[in-house]
Amino acid sequence: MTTNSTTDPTDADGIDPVTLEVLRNQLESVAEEMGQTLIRGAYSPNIKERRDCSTALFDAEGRMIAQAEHIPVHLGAMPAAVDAVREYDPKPGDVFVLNDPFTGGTHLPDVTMVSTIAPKTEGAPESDGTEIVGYAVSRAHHADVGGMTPGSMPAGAQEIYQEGLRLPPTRLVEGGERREDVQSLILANVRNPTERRADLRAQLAANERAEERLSALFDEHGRETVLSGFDAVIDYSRERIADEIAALPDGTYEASDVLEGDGVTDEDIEISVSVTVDGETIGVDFSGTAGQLEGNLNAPIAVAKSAVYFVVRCITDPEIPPNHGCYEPVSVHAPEGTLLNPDPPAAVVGGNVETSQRVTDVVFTALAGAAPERVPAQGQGTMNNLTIGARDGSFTYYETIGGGFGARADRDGMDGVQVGMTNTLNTPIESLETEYPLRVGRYALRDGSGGRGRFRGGLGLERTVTVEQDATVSLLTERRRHAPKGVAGGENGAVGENLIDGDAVPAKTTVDVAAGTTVTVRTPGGGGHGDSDERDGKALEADRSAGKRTDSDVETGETDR
Amino acid sequence: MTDNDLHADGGRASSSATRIGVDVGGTFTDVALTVDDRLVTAKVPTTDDQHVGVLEGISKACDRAGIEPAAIDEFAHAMTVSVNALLERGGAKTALVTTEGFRDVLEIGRQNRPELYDLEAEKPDPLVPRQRRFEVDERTTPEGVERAVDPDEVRALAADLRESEAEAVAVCLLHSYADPENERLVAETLREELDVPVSASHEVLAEFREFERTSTTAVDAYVRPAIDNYVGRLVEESEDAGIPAPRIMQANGGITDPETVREHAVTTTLSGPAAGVVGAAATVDDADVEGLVTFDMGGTSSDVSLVRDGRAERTTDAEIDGLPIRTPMVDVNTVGAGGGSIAWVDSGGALRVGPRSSGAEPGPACYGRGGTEPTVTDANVVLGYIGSETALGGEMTLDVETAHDALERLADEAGLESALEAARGVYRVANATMTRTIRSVTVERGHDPREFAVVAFGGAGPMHAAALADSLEVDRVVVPRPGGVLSAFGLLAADESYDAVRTVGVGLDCEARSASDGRTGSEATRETADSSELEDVYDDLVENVLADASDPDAARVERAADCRYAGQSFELTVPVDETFDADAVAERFHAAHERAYGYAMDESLEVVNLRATATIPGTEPTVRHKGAGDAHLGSRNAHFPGAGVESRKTTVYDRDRLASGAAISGPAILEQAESTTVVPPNWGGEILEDGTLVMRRAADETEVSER
Repeated sequence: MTTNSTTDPTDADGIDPVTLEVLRNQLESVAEEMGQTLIRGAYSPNIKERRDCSTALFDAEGRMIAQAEHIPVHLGAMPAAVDAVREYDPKPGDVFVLNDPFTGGTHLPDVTMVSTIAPKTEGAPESDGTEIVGYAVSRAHHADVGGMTPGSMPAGAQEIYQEGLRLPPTRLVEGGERREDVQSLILANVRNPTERRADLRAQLAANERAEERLSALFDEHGRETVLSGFDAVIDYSRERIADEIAALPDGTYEASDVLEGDGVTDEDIEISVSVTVDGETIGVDFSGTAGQLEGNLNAPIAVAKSAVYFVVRCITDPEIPPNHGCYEPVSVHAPEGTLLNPDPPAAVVGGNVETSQRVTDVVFTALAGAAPERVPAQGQGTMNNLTIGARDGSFTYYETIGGGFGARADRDGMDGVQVGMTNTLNTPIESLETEYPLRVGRYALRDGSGGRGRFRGGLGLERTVTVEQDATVSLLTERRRHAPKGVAGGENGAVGENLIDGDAVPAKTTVDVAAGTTVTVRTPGGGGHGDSDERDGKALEADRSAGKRTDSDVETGETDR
Repeated sequence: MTDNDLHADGGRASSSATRIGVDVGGTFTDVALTVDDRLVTAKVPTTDDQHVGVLEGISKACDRAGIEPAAIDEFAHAMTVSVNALLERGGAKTALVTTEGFRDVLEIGRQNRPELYDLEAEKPDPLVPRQRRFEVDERTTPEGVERAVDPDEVRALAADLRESEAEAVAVCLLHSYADPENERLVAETLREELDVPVSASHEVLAEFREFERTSTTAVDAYVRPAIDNYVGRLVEESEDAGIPAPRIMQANGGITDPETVREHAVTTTLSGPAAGVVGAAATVDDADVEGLVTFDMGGTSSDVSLVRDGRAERTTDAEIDGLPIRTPMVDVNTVGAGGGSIAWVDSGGALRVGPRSSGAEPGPACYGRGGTEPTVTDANVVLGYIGSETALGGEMTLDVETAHDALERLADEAGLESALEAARGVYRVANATMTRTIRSVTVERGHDPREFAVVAFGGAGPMHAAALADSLEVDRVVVPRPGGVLSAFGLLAADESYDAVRTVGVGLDCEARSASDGRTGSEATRETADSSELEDVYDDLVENVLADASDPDAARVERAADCRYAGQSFELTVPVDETFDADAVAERFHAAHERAYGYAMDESLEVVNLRATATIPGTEPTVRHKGAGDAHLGSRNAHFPGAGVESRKTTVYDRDRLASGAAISGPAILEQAESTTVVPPNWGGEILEDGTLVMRRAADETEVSER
């Protein structure tokens, strides 16, 4: 790797600082346009409104050049998809579709499409149009991919076969010819084929956009300049991230934490990590983590990678463009057959939502040893998944609920936000009361739930929902007995609570309820930062007068792990 | 172009009237004055009390035109009072009243955090702190009032509000868009009991989604006293000066009388940028293109908007400083690169432009006021686009050497050969970031930028526009003559316009659409539309918009509906005829969906919101441009993208002196008081009758190898 020299105008790729910045903008713009094309053309609300999708551009060797991601859980998952496709001998004109968590996917609703890019350019060599110069990739959370329940997020699954249609890399387009048989096979296995067709078409259109734009860039700059630009933008990100990693003290930092059962067992499930900072590299090893589970909290290795990359981006300059260069200095290992690298046919659909949150917590906690001033206290560490469905299948309401963000070294944690690997919007009350036989009684900040400290943890939320007809309620939550931890003497945040008609129920619960039953979810508060005796008098008074802190703050759970 | 005779009886000024438009911006207050078919412009510094600068600007323009202010027939105005109140959090001490259990909705928002990876990020502070958020025991559902408000409780609440020393009150109860009964009772009681303005959500924005409606209503209450105060004062001062009362620009691109904005304060946010887009739409003929991309490049940032069919594209999805405002607004997208943006080399060795800016003080290095960092403007000086002799209207002299030194230091840092290479780099990088925004704005809305023309204005816009057009493959760039004060000019051209919306949320009962195939969600619970009920809603909305119109008889009323496929949460707005024809609405929706998203589906439809708009067309000023004398100012060496390292001898013209019909071939530079236009070697230009410059790319000169 070259280090930037102030006297050499070009780096090893022959790209000067101006062309580098111009090409970087243009290549990122390609990924952005792919994303816009996908969001415009998609049908699933998950894609269109919640933007649970990502698009990216890769080079011929499967290295990511530019990415437009809207949720962090796709960060590390895109490269795995391209690696998987490259095992299948891709040819120009081929488009692959895949969702298999064991070959390039994460969980089944996330469907990935990988297109080869082999543009024809003016005055190019004869091989032009026959040589793959890169890949266009789009990944989107489809509203349904079959399986035992509508929405393909079954709470009770113990095998992947129950979770929906599983697609290893499969040619949807072969040599430029659409394979209608493959598409029919997919559509025959999902609940809303018309909608899925629209979503697939949107992904295809997004990928096509990449070849079109790349070919325009070849015309503008010349093919060789653009291809050198691929290397240059990767080097650029690598250089910037390496500088930041190098600034962290070398050493091995360890942490462990637990998931609170998987719905099959209620026992704690351990996640352990050892993070080694060595010069410009970070090695992350999950040895010591629990074995694979009977329930659905297993997470393919791509999920663990995404979580690690997320943490690395957060503690380095978040402005560094995400591409292969950011990830190259970071290695991730999890032993096979474990929670974080399961073997088929493990059920995995919950791994994306809850296990990924705990992985970010342990990696953050470990790296706090290296950069204590940059790592906040723990946030709520869960997505508080709430599903309410009619037993006759006439409606399914699914939502995740925000909570407390951990206090920072210089300021309080944010109140009532999504933390970690998700950032999706809530469903407006006026919308859900119109769409579903549900009534919301209260949606409020949870007073006193933020861990005390010099800086206070963010408050959790309380959401109360009453069902107006008999229904099945399913809760997939965490941090109900192990509180989000404070740091540097800060106190823990409050643990979350799930109540049905006022009675506490476990973190993972699926229960049939009668019309008139009220479900209350109180989400965890963030941990505090620093000694609460040092809290600024004005901040304390502001909390008191706003009622965010009470004199008898709610129990903050156990104080030690 | 509208027919003036149509409005001669409607009290509207004809185009031969003397009209003045005054737009207050962050740094300058711009004035455009039309006397007969002459256009006179002026710029004065913006003052803290904005009306002071406004009156100064008016007298400066009148002096230049040789008229008395009392000769002005019509006065149109855009200001930044409300947006400043929001950005500086200097608005009224506001209280909020909500349904019991929901006072935190305003603070929770949509529960997303503002930045994915930035651990230091903060949510915007809510406009109303928790201490002043109050709840009332009541409940309305989508079907109507379930639990009525207790009037005694509201009177007790009034006492609490008085005690809280609130200067304005916002009331937003759940589902009040569906049935405003409880909310109306609360608002009316509070208006009786209190001496402060009370904004009720069903009056501000009768649209579902509680957070966005609450936020919009809170903004309205928050800026209302400031707007009331400012507009009231300006009306008085205008009267003293013998000028007609100002008509005020709204963010929706329409203009209205001062009494109306005092009642609907939220509509005044971002009215200046809206006026600029309206000005671009008014001066540029877009008959033979898909639409216009307006590109307004100022000192610290650039604004990009779209115009289609002569109308500025609007959005109901705007935010200011993280606060959603859902009333319709001209859709203005900002990119953080302007003339003052500072160039630097980052730790990865890339040459970057912005987001830091030199601001008004000290300004770019070439201003010679102590700035030493290289800016985009400095690069333009080194490239020869801005000259030392005539720059900036002669009101400021340029320090070319300081600009050169700044770029030289940048060259050293970046490892580039010379100040000139650095300047070329800054120009290219700034253009690349702006191109990215323009591509994003067009592609996101389903357009191909190649089918658009670019309208460039603002001090720096016309200096970059042709280069941007090259990389966007756009063939035409239009530079309106009053480009430096286009917002002020747009004020003269704006229509009078009012909007109203109400959420109805019913299924659309139309033919030939099959039932859905076992989807989640429960459209079964939705009632289908009863067209007579919808007509009643429209009647209310129309009454509402006409009530504000200066001349209801002259108003054109348009009705529209926001529809969506059942189970989706993205609506598209389609026009509705004088009677509600479900099949026609469905037909239009499918066509609109096809156009916007590339496909239509055989799915059932829902009508989410009904909308009405009343418009009284404005009178576009007729400006005849004559030109005078010798426009040729000389020549200087300038450097163009891709044209090799050697400079090209470039003719410099005085833009205002160029006669209509004059043809210019690149390379050329056109100087004007408020802005400079660069015509690159592969471009040519022509001056139209009203002084507009139209630039076209020459087909043969394709020497552009890099941009």
